[in-house]
Amino acid sequence: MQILAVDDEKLELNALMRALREVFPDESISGFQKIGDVLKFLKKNSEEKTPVQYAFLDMKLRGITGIELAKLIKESFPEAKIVFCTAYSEYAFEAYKMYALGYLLKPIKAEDIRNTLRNMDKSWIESSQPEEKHTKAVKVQTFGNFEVFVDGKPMVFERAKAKELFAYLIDRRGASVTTAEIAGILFEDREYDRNLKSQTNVIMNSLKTDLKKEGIGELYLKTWNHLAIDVSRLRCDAYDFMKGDPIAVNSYNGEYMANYSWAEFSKGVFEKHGNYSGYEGL
Amino acid sequence: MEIILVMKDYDELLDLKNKVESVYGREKICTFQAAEDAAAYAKGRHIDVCYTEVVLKGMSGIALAKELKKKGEDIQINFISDTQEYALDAWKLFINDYLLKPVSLSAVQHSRDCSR
Repeated sequence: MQILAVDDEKLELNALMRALREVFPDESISGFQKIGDVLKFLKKNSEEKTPVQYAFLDMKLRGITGIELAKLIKESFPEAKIVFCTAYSEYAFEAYKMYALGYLLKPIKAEDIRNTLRNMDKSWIESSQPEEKHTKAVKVQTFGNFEVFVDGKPMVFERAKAKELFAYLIDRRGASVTTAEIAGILFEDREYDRNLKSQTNVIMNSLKTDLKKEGIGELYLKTWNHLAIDVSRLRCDAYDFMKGDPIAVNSYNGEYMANYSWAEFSKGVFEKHGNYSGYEGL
Repeated sequence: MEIILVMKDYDELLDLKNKVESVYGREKICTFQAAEDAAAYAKGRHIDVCYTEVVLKGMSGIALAKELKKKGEDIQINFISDTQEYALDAWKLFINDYLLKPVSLSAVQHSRDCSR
């Protein structure tokens, strides 16, 4: 989202940008005093196809009125929403004529901007306090192939071995493992020397980055030599199976983390307790 | 959709009704010459759109707008006046649009186009 702020007075512009940063903490806000710079900005964003979503404009600018500037902006970006921020009340009627979103008197406060958006902007979604983040739903599938879903979308792993590591940690059901154990699983048959330890660390960091990218970095629990996954923050069909959940129990089809050979050893518990017997007709 | 119109002069009120019908089509439109009557009507009903003159006998269009907004529902309120002088008040109350008298068809169309 591109947000534009224009005021020919430096102090006023700074005050406006401060208020805007409070209202739009995660968005890109560009402030200008000179019209020439605004026009260059509009041209650049037009070419790069990054639309200006909101424009907060002073009414009295050098060489152009706020109304004229608003019209120019709308020529490049018809969907742009205009809010006038001014010390003068006499343009209030004209502002209505050109479909402005709001008309605020200086000094502009963040709450004034928020109220305008709340009341006048159809597309404004009241975002919760910055600290309140949407908790991602993590679902781990082990029956069949190993897959991880975050908010319904399959998780992307930079390295296949990082995915395998995650699978192993899930298989360990939240118990912590040492780097040496991880190396043994990921690089079976290779001697655990300094070089391999280093390679293993690369994989571990890769997994950490993958999780952070998905917004679930808190799943990665690392102490000086031990790594575990915080299994309390995810759903897993195997865990549900162990708890006796009938849907999970019935979903077992004879395959557990089919893509990893070391997972064979863990299958036993599902075969013994589940309904799936592997034999037909019984 | 439920629309209410408030204007002092009867002929102007009728003219507004015709224009609103042209722009919005066949919707429920109720007309009033006093804001108090409009406010009483609106109690317990969900009104979608309101066009009200600002200067009226008795209760003003501004007071009516405040009453309607208090209900907390989604309502588009438009002011009508022969001067621009209440435009700032309109912005402060988050009024949808401001129409100057005599109200033209295009002005009514404009107020529908910019609905928030």
